[in-house]
Amino acid sequence: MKKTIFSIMISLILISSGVAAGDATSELKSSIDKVIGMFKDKQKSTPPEAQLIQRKKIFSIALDLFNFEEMSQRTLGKEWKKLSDDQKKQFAHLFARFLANIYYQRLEEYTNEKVKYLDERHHKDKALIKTVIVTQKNEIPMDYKLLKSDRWRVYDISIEGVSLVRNYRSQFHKILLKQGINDLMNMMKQKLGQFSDL
Amino acid sequence: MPHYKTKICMILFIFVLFLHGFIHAADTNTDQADTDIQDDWAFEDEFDEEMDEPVPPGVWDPLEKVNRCIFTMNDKLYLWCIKPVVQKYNHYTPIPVRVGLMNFFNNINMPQRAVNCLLQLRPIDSGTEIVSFAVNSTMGIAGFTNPSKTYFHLESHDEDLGQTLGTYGIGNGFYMVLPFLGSSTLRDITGSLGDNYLDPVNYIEDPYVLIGVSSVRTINTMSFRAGEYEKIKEMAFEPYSAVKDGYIQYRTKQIEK
Repeated sequence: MKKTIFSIMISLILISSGVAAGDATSELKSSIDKVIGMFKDKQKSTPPEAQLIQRKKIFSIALDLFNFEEMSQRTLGKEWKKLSDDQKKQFAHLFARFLANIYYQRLEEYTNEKVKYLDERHHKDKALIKTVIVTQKNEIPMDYKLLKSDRWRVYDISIEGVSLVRNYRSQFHKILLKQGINDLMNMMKQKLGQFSDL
Repeated sequence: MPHYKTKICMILFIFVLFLHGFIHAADTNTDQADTDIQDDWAFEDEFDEEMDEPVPPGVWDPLEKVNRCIFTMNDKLYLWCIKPVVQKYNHYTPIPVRVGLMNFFNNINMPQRAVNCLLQLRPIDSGTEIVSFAVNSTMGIAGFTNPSKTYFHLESHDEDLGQTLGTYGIGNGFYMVLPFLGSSTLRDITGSLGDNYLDPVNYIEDPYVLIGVSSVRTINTMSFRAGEYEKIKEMAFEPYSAVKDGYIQYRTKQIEK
């Protein structure tokens, strides 16, 4: 009797975890695992040239993971429509590199924190994946919003409820009020420094 | 002294209530929070919404000029005074000691959480806080460890009066940057004045001990956040707006919970 109850419970757990992990989660997970894997290799040897190569590699994975164009559109909001096609392209190019660069820097600090995938929800062509990062001290909730095109790509990340896109939008809004889009792009180039043509 | 504090608290509270009605129109943030509670999955229209809003949702900031000055001052204060102290502290204090101290201070702060859960009409959560306190104070060696979570899986509810007022539908009022303490809003500063009464540390009579204990608590809390502020600044194009928006989004989320 005990055994049957036990096996039913086990199968229930297996089923429920199978339901929770949809295809968006598995795509997200595989990209994140790939990047983390690269960082584990890196820790063994880090000459500066190898670092640049690694940045490039991570950027190519980031292109699979993030939908940078969608992110650029959302961060600029209404201002996006006012840009010329050329400006749109340039802005998306810079913003992508800027975000990828931040992502790289955060990963460098990665010290074996575990990522737990909690929940996946869908709405039309969008998905929301809830995760937590477990650190020594606490658990940091991190939500990904994804959009399905040829594959699932992230268009917003919320850390402890703070949406990255919304945060940049409030900053860009302020900058665009006082200065123009060209000033904003120059600021980005300055921040990126040598990594602006990755 | 407490008498004077009560007065300030009362005046501010009335002020918040008074302002609330007429700020509501300007404070688009509260409206969004309301719809989010109903369905945080309402992002079908979100995209178009985001594209068409002329101004990103935020908080009223009539004191922006003063706030920016204090923000700059706090920035320097952090870099020149707090950061070096925290770095030294981290260097000489091993992580288990810091975590122990954090647990201890969290544990004695139970009254704030329990009372605010109750004020939010969550008696069960309030009870959980009291039970956790009893468990941690005894089994948990005066609260230095956290058996309520590790063994009994009792979740702590990080509630404060600012959040309680938020759940009553009181908006942020306006944003303010306080010297030393950083981001706050009219509602949250009112809340923290009230919460002060529930903080056992404030009942220490000897002023030197009070300052000592408060400093240890502050530095210990900061020690876990070392480097966070630098990262925010590094990521930001406009640090003032970034911190303001971050604070408002974070609080909105906390109130929803």
